[in-house]
Parts: sequence; structure tokens; C-alpha cells
Amino acid sequence: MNKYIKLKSATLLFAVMMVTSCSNLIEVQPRQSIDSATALSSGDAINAAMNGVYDRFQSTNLYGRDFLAIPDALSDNGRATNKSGRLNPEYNNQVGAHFVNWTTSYIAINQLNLIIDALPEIKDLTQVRKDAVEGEASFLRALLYHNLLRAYSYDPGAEVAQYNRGGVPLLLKGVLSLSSVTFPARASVADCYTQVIKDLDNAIAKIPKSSNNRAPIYATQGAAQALLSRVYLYNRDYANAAKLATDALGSGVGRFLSNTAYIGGFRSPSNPESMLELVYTVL
Amino acid sequence: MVTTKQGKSGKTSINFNYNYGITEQFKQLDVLNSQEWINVRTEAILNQSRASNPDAPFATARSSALTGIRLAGTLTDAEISALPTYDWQKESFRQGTLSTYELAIRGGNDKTTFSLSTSYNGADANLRKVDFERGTLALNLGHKVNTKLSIDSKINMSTTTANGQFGSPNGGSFLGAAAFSGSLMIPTNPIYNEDGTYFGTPSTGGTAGILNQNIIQVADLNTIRATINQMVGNLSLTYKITDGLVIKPFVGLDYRLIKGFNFSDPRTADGFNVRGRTQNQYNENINILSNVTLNYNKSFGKHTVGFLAGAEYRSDVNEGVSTVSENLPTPEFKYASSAANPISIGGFWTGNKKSAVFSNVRYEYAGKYLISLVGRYDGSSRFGANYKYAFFPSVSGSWVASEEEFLKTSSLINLLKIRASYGSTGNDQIGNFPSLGLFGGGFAYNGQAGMAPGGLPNPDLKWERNVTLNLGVDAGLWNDRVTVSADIFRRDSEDLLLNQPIPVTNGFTSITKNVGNMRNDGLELEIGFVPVKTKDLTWKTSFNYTIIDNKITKLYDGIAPLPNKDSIIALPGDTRFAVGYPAFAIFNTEYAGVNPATGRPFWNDANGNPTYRVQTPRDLKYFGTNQSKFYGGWTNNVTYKGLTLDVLVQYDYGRFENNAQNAFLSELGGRTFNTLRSEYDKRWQKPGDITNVPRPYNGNAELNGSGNFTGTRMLQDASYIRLKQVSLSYDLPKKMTTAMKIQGLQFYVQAFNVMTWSKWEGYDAEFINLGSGNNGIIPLSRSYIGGVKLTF
Repeated sequence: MNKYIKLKSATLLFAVMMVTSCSNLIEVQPRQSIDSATALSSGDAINAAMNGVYDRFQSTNLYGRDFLAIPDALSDNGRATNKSGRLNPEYNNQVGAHFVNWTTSYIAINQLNLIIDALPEIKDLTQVRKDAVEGEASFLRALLYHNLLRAYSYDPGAEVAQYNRGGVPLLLKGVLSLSSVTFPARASVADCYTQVIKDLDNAIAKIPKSSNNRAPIYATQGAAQALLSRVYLYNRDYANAAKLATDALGSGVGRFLSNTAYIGGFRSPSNPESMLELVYTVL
Repeated sequence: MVTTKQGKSGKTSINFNYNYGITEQFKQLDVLNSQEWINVRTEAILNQSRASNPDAPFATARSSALTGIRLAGTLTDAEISALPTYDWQKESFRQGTLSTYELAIRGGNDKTTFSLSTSYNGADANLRKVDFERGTLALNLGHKVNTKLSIDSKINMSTTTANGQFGSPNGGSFLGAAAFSGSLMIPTNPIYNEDGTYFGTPSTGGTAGILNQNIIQVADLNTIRATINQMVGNLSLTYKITDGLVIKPFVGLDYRLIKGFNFSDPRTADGFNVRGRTQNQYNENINILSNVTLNYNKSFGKHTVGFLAGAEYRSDVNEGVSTVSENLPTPEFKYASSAANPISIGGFWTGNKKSAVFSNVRYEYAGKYLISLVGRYDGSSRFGANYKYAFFPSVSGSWVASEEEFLKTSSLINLLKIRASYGSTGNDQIGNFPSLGLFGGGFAYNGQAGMAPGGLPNPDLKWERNVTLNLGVDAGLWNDRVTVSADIFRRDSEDLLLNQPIPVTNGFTSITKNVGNMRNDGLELEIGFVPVKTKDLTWKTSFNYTIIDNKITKLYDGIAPLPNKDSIIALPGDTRFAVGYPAFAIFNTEYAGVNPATGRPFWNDANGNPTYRVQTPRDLKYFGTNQSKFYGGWTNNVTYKGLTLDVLVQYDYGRFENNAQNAFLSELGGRTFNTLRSEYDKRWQKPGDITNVPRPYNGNAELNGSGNFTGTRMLQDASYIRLKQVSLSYDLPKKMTTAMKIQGLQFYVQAFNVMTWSKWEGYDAEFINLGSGNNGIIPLSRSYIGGVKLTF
């Protein structure tokens, strides 16, 4: 009998262990990340997500190095000193030695698309602030597409038909799951420019004039006008280029320095002529 | 995990072991002297200038070669031939030492047994400033509470400190690693000034050449140190419920504290501009394991049945902080509190949990037939919500034919056993949270924190399943004078856990998915002989051989083949997967040698036509794998009275790897690095030269040509045969030990990595960090050890 009771209690103990091992014992949630499905649901989250995009612009593939160094290496403005081997292929115009802003730009574009998609549902932001964020995001998206077009397609009117592959794929909706992954072909150059201009028009309309005092480290109405002027210039729409340039110069964002102050401008932490200038943060 | 022998009841025995040894470099790479280097650098510059201006003068090129390494451009031939050559490689390596002390005390009585042991290992590597120290302490305790209940407990503690160097796996750029840079330093650079101080420190403008730093000073003054403090302890109870029925609960803890310390001295190139940098990492790893098993065994005549059921649970948590700070008052201050400029602080947490229930049923008849069924139900926190658990069954059986009547009396066959098994196991070796879609931090702009999406969710992520069919035979002939053990197996890995690339225009580069199948067909064979067996002399030898054919049999749907039909998935680390090829196949462009007319390197394009400019992926082809085709070893054990000789040879065939370090060493003055003499002697010099080493060219890329090191030029065969270990020991005869009132005394000598045969042109073919290149790897060394073992 005694033996029987022991056997029964051992079996019972065992059964308990078996059952507990199958329950929620093996649930582990990350502690330094949050669920992407609900990440963008507050004003603070939207602000943090915008900072995440500005951080991406500091990448060495974008303004962190390549946009400044590679044009000089590819052209004859700079000369490779062969000190380390870096930029030698670009200097020698080897196959494939060029800008590599594709991946980083599309990652940033998706971040912006997600922010733009999320804005209407945010409860704790005023409509004014939502508009300002949407305008800023539109500006940054336009800047990314503009630079992609400069690196991966022909400028409007300069196409060589034999090699022309069009513009770049236009992705304007955020992707957060495998089911929303798409693989669109390149849009035409004209369609790409239409989209960039549309984004910049939206930026100029939605970023309030008051934002100009955040210049030059954030996207401002003045910066959007300046970029749109440049985009019109690329698109050979000179009348609009001149008009937007005039608007930009009137915005107070970036101002021409006198001859005597010019050199000093480069020595100040932020050049007073800058329309948009990243403030680098190491993390 | 370190395990020590369980104690034994009876007389307490004390074992002491001591050994000491030296280590040395296998080989020194033969590089150019000052004159040869100036010569090849001049050629490289001249070849580049003459590509655009055929009349470019020699004098200008040589002057440029000289000033490029901070010599006067006007040096005459006589002055150049008088330049000294400094051997940086020799200065980087040294003779190393090894020492081991071990003490173990075992004893106990009928109820309680114990084993106490402690050890110390110290090694100064044969590479400057690289060392290793480990101390351990272990206690095993067994106690019988009564006839039904017994307790076993083990506690192992250890502390390990390893000082690496820049470029070692502990961190830092490989350019500062003496193992990498020693052979690359421009030989005109002195190592020390005449007063014995370091030459070419940052404050005096650095050394000449791209490395631009005195790597000996870097090795001496900088610190990269990893310390691991570990405590592994466990407690298990064994309780006999009734005859044949035993329950055994177990709980264990594996605690590890990993400290990293990284100091860039303000006098070295890494720390000069920031006036010193100090970095600390503190990682804590807590691994808790517990299980319980219920075991029942019963024999009825010739029948034996066994039943086992169990459950286990495991939790693994890894947490850490790290700091980087700069600007220290003087080089003597090495810790963050003295630093004026905190640069960054990091902190992380990650973890996973696993649980399983399992059961095993065994039936054995007369020691001849055995059949066993196993079922496991495994769970891992890493998978998608609906796929955390999976069932992995297996079945195995064996037949001991030599126990049958018809073989029992055989004088030829003393053992013949035939085995078969078929079953599956699970693999969850992926990151902790790949099934979740997450926004992560670590972003900031203008002093404000940021966040960004880190990955796409995959709620369907599930276990990778390995299904293995194994057939084996064990045989012993002539009373085990000849033994054979052979296994053939087929292992199908289904639902491989891989990163499937997705069009990056969607904002993500890849997603972790169960994307394909892989098949391993293999044969393992071990043949042993005892050629000599007499009273005093025995020679045992055995040879083993493993051959595996590995192939990807399926990848995800919708994969579009490239024009050259090698459809590849590029994974992080540039390893590639393609259907019909081994995993981690090497896809590269084919180096075709040198055009004898021009000295320019060329390649074969996708159609096999020579070209100066290859394109990827268009021209990629398959060039083997860095997995071995076959490998194995040959062991010998000879005993003569108290003498024992062991010899081990190992071999590995059919693996290919890019020799990244030798690519730097083959630049022939294309940049200011030194070069191997073998490449220098083979270089193309004049029209008609037939060679596979192109002409020297500044910048290592001809006009309108691919880079000189594009493609398979540095892909080398890393197969090798190595005399891995030879050891000889002598045990004092019983008569003498008895007279000395001790239990035993043994003297021994050992040699490791004695000789190697290989086509590999780097330091070492065995340890080449497959897949990530051999830059900065500290090569294995040859070592000789002598020691003594004493038992009281």
C-alpha cells in the first residue's frame, strides 16, 4: 500500500511537471524593442520615429560620407592619394564603383511611409503638429527620391535611349509585414519627378512658416522651397526653379554671407548659408 | 563544462600534475627587403604613369616611390643599396611558454564520496602581448541519505583572462594586429630609434606606409582583454521509489560574467587624437537548467523492458552594459573615471527559453535484439506563436549477431553488431526574436532619442527539422585484433532557418524564414588494428575517415535564376546558398591569369571568354566550398613496459578559402605594403612572360580593368595533413613506487602541430576562420611540453 501511494505521488508530481512545461513557460518578450504593429501610436513615438529617419541620413552611404566624397572621386575634383585604398575604385571609375545609397534610402523611405500612414490615427497630436510632421516627412522622402534619381537614373532630358531603364521604383505605402511586400518596376523618370514635386508641394503647404526657426538642422518650409527649386532645375522647368529659389531666399533659412564673412562661415559650427545641415550625433 | 572524476570511497588519493612547454611559429612569411620593395614600388608607379603617358620617365617614378615612404627622392643607386632592412615580422613573434598545474584529491567513505580539484593554466603566446590564464576550482560531492535516496552535487568555478591584440577576435582593427601587419610593414622603417624608444610614433608622424603606425608599439601599449568568470553548479537527487523505478530531479545553474576591457593608449595611433580611449563591457549570462526523469527497468527472464519519461526547462538570459570614454590625463590612467569625455554608454538584454517533455521505451531480448523508441516534444521561445512546439520522434534498433548460436563459437568473429536508426531532431539556432516585428532603439538626432523598424515579423517561423537515417555495423575480428565501425547516413534538413532576401525597396533586406531543404549523405569509417600484442609490447593503431556530400535540395519558391544559372542567396558574411550546390558554396568570378603581351590580369566572363572587366553577379561561377570533402585522422598507441607512445595525424581535404591576408601581401607595390618574395619572383615583367602574377600597378587596378584581386586569384586550397600530436610517457614500475611510498609517478613529453603538409600559403591551414577570412587571426603554433604526474 505504502509503495502504491509513493508511486501515485511520484506520478502526480511528474504529471504536474509535464503540464507546466507546456504552458506559457517559454514566452520571452524583448526588453529593448517594441512591437512594430503598435509602435507608432503616440505623439512621442512619432517624434522618435522622425529622429530615427534623421539618424539614417547620417549614414556613410548618404550624407555621412559618400554624398560628399564620391562625387569628387568620380569626377576630377579630387584625387585618390592611395593612402588606404578607399575610393581608389571610384577614382579609377571601375565597374560598380559608384554611390551605394539604394538600400539605406529605401529603408529610410519605408520609415517615412510608416510615419505618414500612422499620422491620421494619432490621438495626442494636434492637427497643426500632424501637418507639420507630414510636411517634414514628405520633404525628406522627396530628398531621398531626388538623390536616388541622381544616382540610378538619367536626368530628365539627358536620357540615352539605349541604356535608359527609367527612374526608380516608387514606394509610397509603409511595409510592416511580408504580405505587404511588393516588387514594383522602376517608374518612368517623368513620373518620379512628378512624385518628388508633389511631395515638395505638400511639404511647403504643410510645414508652417514658423518652422523656419528650426533651420538648418530640421526640414523647414524654406529648405523645401530650396529643394523644389533644385528639382525644377533638374527637370528643366527654369521659370519655377527661379520662382522657388526666390521664395527660399525670402524664407530667412540660409542667408548669403558677405565677402568678408564668407571664410568665417565655414568655421562656424553651422554654416549660416545652410538651408539644411545635419547635426551629427554619435551613438 | 568541466567535469571531474567522482570521488571513490576508501583511501584518499592525491594527484598532482605539472607541465611546462614552449611554443613557436610554424613559419615566417618570406617578404621583400628594402631594395626589392623600392624596385617593385617604382615599377608599379611607372606602369601606371606609362598607361597614359608612354614616355613617363623612370626617375620620376622612383623618386615618387622613395618620397612615398619618406625617403629623399634624390637617393642614388648606391645610397638605395645601402639602406637597411628591418624585420618587423620577427619582432612581432616570439617564443611562447605554456604551464599547467593540477591538483586533485579524491576520497570518502561508504556514505559520502568527494572530489576536490584545482588547476592553473598559463600561456604566453608566441605572438607579442598575447597571453592566457585560467584558474579552476571544483568540488564534487555524493552522499547516500539512505538506501533509497542519494544526492549528487557538482560545483565548478573558473576564471579565464586572455589578453589579445588589435585584430584578434577580442576586437580592434586587424590593421594594428602584429600577426597581420608584421609581414606588411615597409622594411625601411626602423622598429626602434637609436635610444631604444619606438620609431614612428604618432607624435613623430607615424611610420612610412599605409599602416602608418608602429605595430610593435601598438601591441605593447594597447590592451584588449577578455575575462570570463564562470560558476557551474548543479544538484541532483536520485530516489528509488520501488524496485526498478527511479525518479531523478535535477537543477543546474551556469553563471558567467564576461568582462571586456579595451584600452587605446594615447601614445598609439588609435588613441593619439582623442588622448586615449578606454572601453569596458560587462556581460552577465545566466543559464538555468532543470529537468526530472522517471526511469523504470524490469527484466523477465530473457526480456528486459525500460521506460523513461522526463521533462526539462531551460532559461538563458544575457544582459550587459558597455562604456566608451576618451581623453585621459596620462597613459597611466586606464579607467573611465579618469576620462574627461564620455562618448557612449550601452545596455542590452536578451533571452530565450526552452522546454521539452520526452519519453523513451526500450525492449531488449537476450542481449541480442534491442529496439528503442524516443519521442520528444520540444518548445522554444524563438519561434512564431503557433509553432513554438514540435514533435520529434525516432526509432532505433540493433542486432548483436555475434550472440547468436551460429557465431558464438566463431574464432574469427568476436563481435558483430548491426545498427539502424531513423528519427528527427530540431534546430532553433537563430536569434532570440526573429519571429517578431520590432521597432528598435539605438537611434538619435540632435540629442533626441529615435527609433526605427528592425525586422519584419514572421509568425509562421518554426523549427528546422533534421531527419536522419543511419545504418551501421560494428565488428571485431580475431578477439578484437581488428575492429571495424562503419556508418552510412542520410540527413535531410527540412525547413532550413535562413535569411531570405526581400526586395530592399520595401525597407527591409531580409526575413528569417524556413526556406529550404538540405541533404547530407555521409560515411564514417573507423578501422582499428592491434598489429603487435605481447606481454610487454602492444601497438594499437586506428584510422578514421569521414566523407560528407552536402547539397541544398530546395530553396524558397519564386527564386529567379540569374543568367549564369547560379541562383544564389547572399547571406550576411557573404556566404551563399544555391540549389544543387553545397551550403556556403563559393561563388566568384574566375581569374584567368595574365595576358603575356601586356601583363594585365584577366578573367573569364560567364561565357568563358577572357575579359579585363568582370561583372557580378553576371560572371559568377561555382568554385567549391570551404566545407571539407573528407577528413579524419590516424592514431597510434604503442606501449612497452612503462613506456607509452601516442601519435596522432589528422587530415582534411577539399576545402577552399580566400586567403585574405595574402591578398594584401601580393600587391607588389600597388600600395605601400610589403610583398611576398614568391609573388615578386613570379611577377610579369616583359612581353612574353608566362605567369599568373600580373605586373605591378599602382592602386592595384589597371585602367578600365577590374581590381587585381577580383575573383578567384587568392582562392586557395586549405587541405592539409598534419602530424598533430606526439606524446611519450614513462610510468615508474610498481616496485619503485612502492619503495617510494607513492601510488604512481609518470614523466611525459608532448609535441603538438609538429609537421604540416599543405598548399595553403598563409601561416596556417587548419585555423583560418572559414567564411570570414584570415586577416588578423593569430595562427596556431608548434609546441613542446614536458611534465610529471604524481599520485599519493
